[in-house]
Amino acid sequence: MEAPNRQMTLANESSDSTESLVLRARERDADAFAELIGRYERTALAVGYSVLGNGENASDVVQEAFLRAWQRIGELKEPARFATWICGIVRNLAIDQCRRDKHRTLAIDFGGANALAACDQRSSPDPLHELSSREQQQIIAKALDSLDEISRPIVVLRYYEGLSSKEIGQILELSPQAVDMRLSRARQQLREMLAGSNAGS
Amino acid sequence: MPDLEKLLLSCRERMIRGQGIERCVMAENKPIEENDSLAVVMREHLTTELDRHVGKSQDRFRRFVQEQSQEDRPLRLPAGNRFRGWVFSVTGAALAACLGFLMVGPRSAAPIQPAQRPTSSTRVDLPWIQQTADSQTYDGGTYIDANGNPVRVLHEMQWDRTRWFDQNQQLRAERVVPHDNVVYVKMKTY
Repeated sequence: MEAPNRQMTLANESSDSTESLVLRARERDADAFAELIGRYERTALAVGYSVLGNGENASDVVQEAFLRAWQRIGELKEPARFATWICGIVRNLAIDQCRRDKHRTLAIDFGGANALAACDQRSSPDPLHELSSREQQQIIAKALDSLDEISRPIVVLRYYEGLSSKEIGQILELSPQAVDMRLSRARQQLREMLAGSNAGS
Repeated sequence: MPDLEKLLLSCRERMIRGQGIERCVMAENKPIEENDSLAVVMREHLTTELDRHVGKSQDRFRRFVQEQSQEDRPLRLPAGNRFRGWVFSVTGAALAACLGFLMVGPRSAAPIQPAQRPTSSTRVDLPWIQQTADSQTYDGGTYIDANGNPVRVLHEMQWDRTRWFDQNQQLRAERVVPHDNVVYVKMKTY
């Protein structure tokens, strides 16, 4: 398996570049803002998914968040902190949606349903493999949901975006040490959950 | 990378058989690092869940910007263009009024002599004129006048409508003149 494609590297990426894009976006340069979207969409998706536990809903929230960001980009005081800002918008929108959506538990329980739909679309030749894949998606979705609200985005950002503890800390406004500590505990919890689920099944 | 793939496949096979990932990792004797089975499984799960949504935000943003620009287009016209609309409206109204005057005026004046009538070689497309009169009368009730006689009051509303249409210039104008007449009908008393 290939390492995840890291589109966002807060530490290595020159903040001037992001800053200049934000400044151009402030001047209503749509191309600059589209580039910002391309750069931070995966991170935003990770944050949205960590709150909602559902890829479809996370995508909707992220799309909405970027539109709001475009309309309010003038309010961003530190252009270099665009990632933190957009992730904050995503998180707030996702939490709002959670509050509105009374059936979130169902969404989590059937968190693998989207993966299931994706499996259906992929027309796998091996039904057994597909079944195990579906079950696996459901089990992992449940395990992720069992994590606390701070650890979940840490895990998702680490494994989806491959971000370092420092980068995750910048986005979630935590120290790298706190990120490491929570990640370690979360990994332990996930291992126990996944092992338990598999033993149970 | 091939080792990781082998590990993942092995994990899957063992999961199908009801064995746990933890046991699988121990069986493979791999250190629990970022590339351990948990990381691999998590990456695969998140990639499956989220990768198909990548790019949607950009698409939606592009659509949004396009829609916005279409909505704002009339407002972004240069000042000259904006002014042109007003000029056209005012000119059109003035022209319609002139045409109306020209058409109604000569008719009320002396009739055109046969010699002055246009021949077929000098055909002129005159503006089209339509005049209508709508009226509505309603009973205003019975009153006693100053002399003590009962009178019935009838309100007669009338609208004289004149429409002009110049086919050559594609100009249209309309004039409505309302009239409100009050008619007193003396009632017979016995």
